[in-house]
Amino acid sequence: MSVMTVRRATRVIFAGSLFALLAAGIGTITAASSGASTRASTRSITIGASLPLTGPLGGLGSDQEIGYRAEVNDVNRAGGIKIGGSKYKINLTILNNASTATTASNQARALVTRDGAIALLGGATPTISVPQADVATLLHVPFVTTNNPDDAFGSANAKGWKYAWDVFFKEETQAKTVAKWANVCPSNKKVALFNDTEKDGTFERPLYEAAVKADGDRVVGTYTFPPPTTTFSSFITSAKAAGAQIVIGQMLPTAGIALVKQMKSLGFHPDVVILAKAANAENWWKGLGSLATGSGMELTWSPAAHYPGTPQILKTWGKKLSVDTLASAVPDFGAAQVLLQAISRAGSTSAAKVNAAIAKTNGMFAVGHVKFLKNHTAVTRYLVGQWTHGKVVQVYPPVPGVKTECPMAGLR
Amino acid sequence: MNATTLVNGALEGGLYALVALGLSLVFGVLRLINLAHGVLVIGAAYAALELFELFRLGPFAALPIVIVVAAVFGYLLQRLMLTNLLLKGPEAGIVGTFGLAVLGEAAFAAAFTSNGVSLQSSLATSSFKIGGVTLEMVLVTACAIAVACAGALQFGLKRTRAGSVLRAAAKDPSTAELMGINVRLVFALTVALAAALAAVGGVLYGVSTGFAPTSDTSLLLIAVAVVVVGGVGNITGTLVAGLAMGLVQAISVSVFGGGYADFTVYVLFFVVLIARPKGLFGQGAL
Repeated sequence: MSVMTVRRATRVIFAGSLFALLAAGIGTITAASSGASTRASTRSITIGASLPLTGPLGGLGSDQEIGYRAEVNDVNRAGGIKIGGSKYKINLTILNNASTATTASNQARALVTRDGAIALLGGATPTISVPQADVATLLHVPFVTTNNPDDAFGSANAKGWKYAWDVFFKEETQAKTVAKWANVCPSNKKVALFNDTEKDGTFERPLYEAAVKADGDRVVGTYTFPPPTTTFSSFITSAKAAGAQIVIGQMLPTAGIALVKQMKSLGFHPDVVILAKAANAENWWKGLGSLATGSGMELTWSPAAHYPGTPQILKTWGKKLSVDTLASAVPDFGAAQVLLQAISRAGSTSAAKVNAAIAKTNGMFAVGHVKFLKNHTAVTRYLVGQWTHGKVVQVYPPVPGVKTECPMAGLR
Repeated sequence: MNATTLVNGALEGGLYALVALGLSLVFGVLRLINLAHGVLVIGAAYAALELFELFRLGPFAALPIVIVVAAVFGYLLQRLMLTNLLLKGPEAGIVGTFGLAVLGEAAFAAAFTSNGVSLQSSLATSSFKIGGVTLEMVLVTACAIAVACAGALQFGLKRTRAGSVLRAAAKDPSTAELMGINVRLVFALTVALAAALAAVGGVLYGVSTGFAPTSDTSLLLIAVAVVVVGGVGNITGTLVAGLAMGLVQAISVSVFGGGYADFTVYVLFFVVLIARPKGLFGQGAL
């Protein structure tokens, strides 16, 4: 074969490859711009979610995956989502950002630009969600998230969010509800606050202080510590000496487990203990066993709240998942409902139309009533649960026939 | 600041020393900073948790099994991976153990989720009083085991033939080999022993507090600080440095607040590194 023949063959291959690449590129752009794949047999749209499936937030992220997938599966089982008279199957593309903000941001971008997602669902906590919301704002893609306390999320963009929306409780509501529950039990009204220095822990501490003072309690000890601190003997000794009978806190589960163990060991037996974030997973019971009996836990969903779809949720998941897992997964289920129903109402995959439809959301969902405020947050209720024999029951707001167990039995 | 805080702080330091002993041993003998040491510690805690889930074995009933599994793992790790890497230079060993640490964290997260867990034992919630000072049982136990392990190790290294062989291999591997010592076997047994010590530390750590797949990093950092402050390969130094670190941490928390616990430890670490690069007690038996 002559040199000329080889060169010609190479050029043909090169030209062919270029043509194929161009064709593929045009195809991708067309699909992305229309926001939908329109192959004859199945029409589909892609929704993306970058979740913290591993790392310190892995527990929350795994529950998010359960919630998001459940709603998408429900819609697909019913034939798909109805958009402008046609039904589309939903491809839910989930990536693991390993609880890293930079990865979360990069993955949100890739889900839109590479995978053709027409909308995004967010990851847990502002650390993960806010960078993703920034990407959504930049790319003009609707973004609905949850597991972000409202003020932290709403104030994270100085110019105000345009395409990002959050469905969760408000920090002030959290503090007030916890303070009110703490006073259900008779005590000397002396409170010790234990908060880690993560963003939410720092934000919540002054709100807890204000809320307990407003309820006539007295803060006798305020203890802050950076994660991954798990040694609390000096704080416990101080709180015990100050006579605290109520312990309120916000920290990672490893710290919470260590704190309760050390409280028991050092003979500090407060009547009321609620450690937000720490006690919010099944591992709380696995790690502490009966020691956890009577400890409080924050809930955003409970069967006793009687939100829409509760019987169906219990029927579908009740045997497989515990109430504490459901309490974490159902808000994500609800956030996905908000997004998918907005897409359907928009009758289009156009980002602007979907975004406008999200803004007009006003109705009951699995997580309660959702209506967005000017700062793009929808305030859901904050409930308090109590661990009893490995299960969680809602105790505040009060539920008929259910009483808060006082004092905390695990520490007695 | 009260006596209970200070005493429990020092006892917590005993747990640090227990975790650091294996690292010091490998550092002293193989001249390797085993960045996977934290993963070995946390791996032992997870192994005990799994034995509880499978056979309802309590942490201390599971401990002998965990020790044997860890030792076999350590032995195989040295024979199958570290020997070849160390022949290429110390950097390869560090990179290799770093890779293992990353892999271990990911494996634990996949197998056990990222949620914090703990080993249940009545020891973790028991205490006793001496003259008005409340002592946490789990920390007293950890400290006592640390002292026993350090003593046995020191005795073994200085007073037994096996110790002489190990010291010879550590000091000059080439000459030791010429004298008929199977250096590769000695190194493998050293890593096995270090892994066994890590297992003891891991189970006690799991009983005393909560742990998660990412807990290995903070444990490794504390252990490195203890080893450097105590003197590389100095067993007694490691024990004393561990106790001192725990005490310093307790004092700093009492005086400056919780935010300065680790900061104070690392300040101490850097001061010692600059003022006495060989550690407060110099290089020991190794």
